[in-house]
Amino acid sequence: MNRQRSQCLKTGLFTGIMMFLCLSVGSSARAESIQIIAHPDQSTVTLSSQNLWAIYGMKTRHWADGTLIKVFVLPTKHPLHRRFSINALKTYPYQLDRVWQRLTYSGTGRAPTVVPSEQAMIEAVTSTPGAIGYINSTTDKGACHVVKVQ
Amino acid sequence: MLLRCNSNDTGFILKTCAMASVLLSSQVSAIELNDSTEIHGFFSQSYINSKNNNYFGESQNGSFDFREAGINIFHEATPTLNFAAQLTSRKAGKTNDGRPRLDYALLDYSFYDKAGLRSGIRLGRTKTPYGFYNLIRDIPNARSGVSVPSSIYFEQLRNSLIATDGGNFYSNLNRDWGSLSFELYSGQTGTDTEMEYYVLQQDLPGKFDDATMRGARILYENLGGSLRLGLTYAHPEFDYIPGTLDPFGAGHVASDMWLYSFQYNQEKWSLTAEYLTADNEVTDFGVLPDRFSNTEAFYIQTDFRISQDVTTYLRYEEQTLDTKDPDGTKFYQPLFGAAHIAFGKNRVVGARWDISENWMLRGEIHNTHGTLWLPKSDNPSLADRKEHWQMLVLQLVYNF
Repeated sequence: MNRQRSQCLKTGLFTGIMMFLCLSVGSSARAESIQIIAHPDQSTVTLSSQNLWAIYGMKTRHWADGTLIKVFVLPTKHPLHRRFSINALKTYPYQLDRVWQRLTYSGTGRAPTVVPSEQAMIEAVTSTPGAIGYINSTTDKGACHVVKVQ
Repeated sequence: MLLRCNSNDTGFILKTCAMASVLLSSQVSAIELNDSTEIHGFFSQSYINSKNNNYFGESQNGSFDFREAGINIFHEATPTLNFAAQLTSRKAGKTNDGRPRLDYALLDYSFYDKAGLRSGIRLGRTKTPYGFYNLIRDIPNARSGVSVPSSIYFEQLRNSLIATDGGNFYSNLNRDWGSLSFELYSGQTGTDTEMEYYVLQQDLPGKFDDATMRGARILYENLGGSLRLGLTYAHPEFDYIPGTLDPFGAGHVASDMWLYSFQYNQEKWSLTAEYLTADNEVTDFGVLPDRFSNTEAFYIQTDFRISQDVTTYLRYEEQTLDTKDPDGTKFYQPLFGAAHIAFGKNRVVGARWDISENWMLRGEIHNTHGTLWLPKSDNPSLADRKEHWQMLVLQLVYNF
């Protein structure tokens, strides 16, 4: 009897999941643009959005030339970080936090380095070999290389 | 004298408050020793108030007997070689005494990283890949509740699940349809007294020897990670070493565990579900007949992010020790005198408040039917264990 109830409940839950999936609509990303910047040495680099997701998920650790990638981010609650997450990575800040926490506390990797502002981002990316970061499209990129994302 | 004592106390309290406010106001994301080395850590303190049974200490009177702490180091020795280690301490009633233990200590050599494929090996003590949360089951700010769901993550068998001493091969494939992460591992692992209760319903004169563990996990994630799917296989094996005047023989326990994981993420909500089916064998214990059983468990959790700082969640979970005896009346009632040791069904309502980058407060209410995952060391008398029990848990977490 109990078993029947439990089976019934499981079927119900499964149906629930499916309904949720069907009803949910992907949130549309706003079209304010962001530029991805890299250290001047990476001047030939272009990336696909899949490359960018793998880099920010800390899954790809090296540039094609073998240099270690140094990933920079703004604080979780920074409006530009939110826009970068949604527009460039098709994800949300909370999901990136989850990914980085998993790496940090399980010995399987390292989280990106957090910089406090856009200006600090430009300075860090300019001065760190292998660096990647992001800024507003209207901000002066300084000596950084702007990475084309296809 | 009394006055001096009081002023000392006041001084201590003031100092503590000053320290806490410094910690609260300053934001520490990591301690970077140099470009290639960083240190992270965490601390949690819980308050548990339970009804009918104890959970981590004498919680029926309100207990502060659950706290966790950890510190880890990550060092990039070369672009392809990393070293990582974490020391943790866990005080959880009578089930964990708070002694520091090495949670992981590993060398990670990534021998291939080209064109979206990265592969490597990890040697040493590595966290066991099992479902979505096992890697970070003891990290209070990273897991999905005050603890990971007991139904799937076996709090009572935690020592055999948390880490494996051996080797781990991993591979990540990134494509435009998403990413696949694969891990394969084998090694030695630990056991604990709760294991004796789990298998034989009592604390025995003998003990389970170090166990062997092997398994694999594959995870799929689409670009952006809104959909995550996982399949885990794990095969633990344990040998029982009888003590003096032990009624049981040199028994053997093994299990084939299959865990299916599902998660869907949107900006305002997430839905997570995991389902486990495990075929177990308990053999050669002498007085106890050889047993072959199937354990089944699942949970489903929805998270609602009602603001940037506040998330509420609901969870329902079940574990059935033996699917041939789901309500415990056929086998467990006649043999041990209680049917409720054979199952657990739990409803959880919770909320999480991220106070600052480093501080978090969580609260949960549990309403549980069945005592399958009740910590038996905190409730040693079977006769005193109640079938229905409830608890309130508050957990304050600091991490950097």
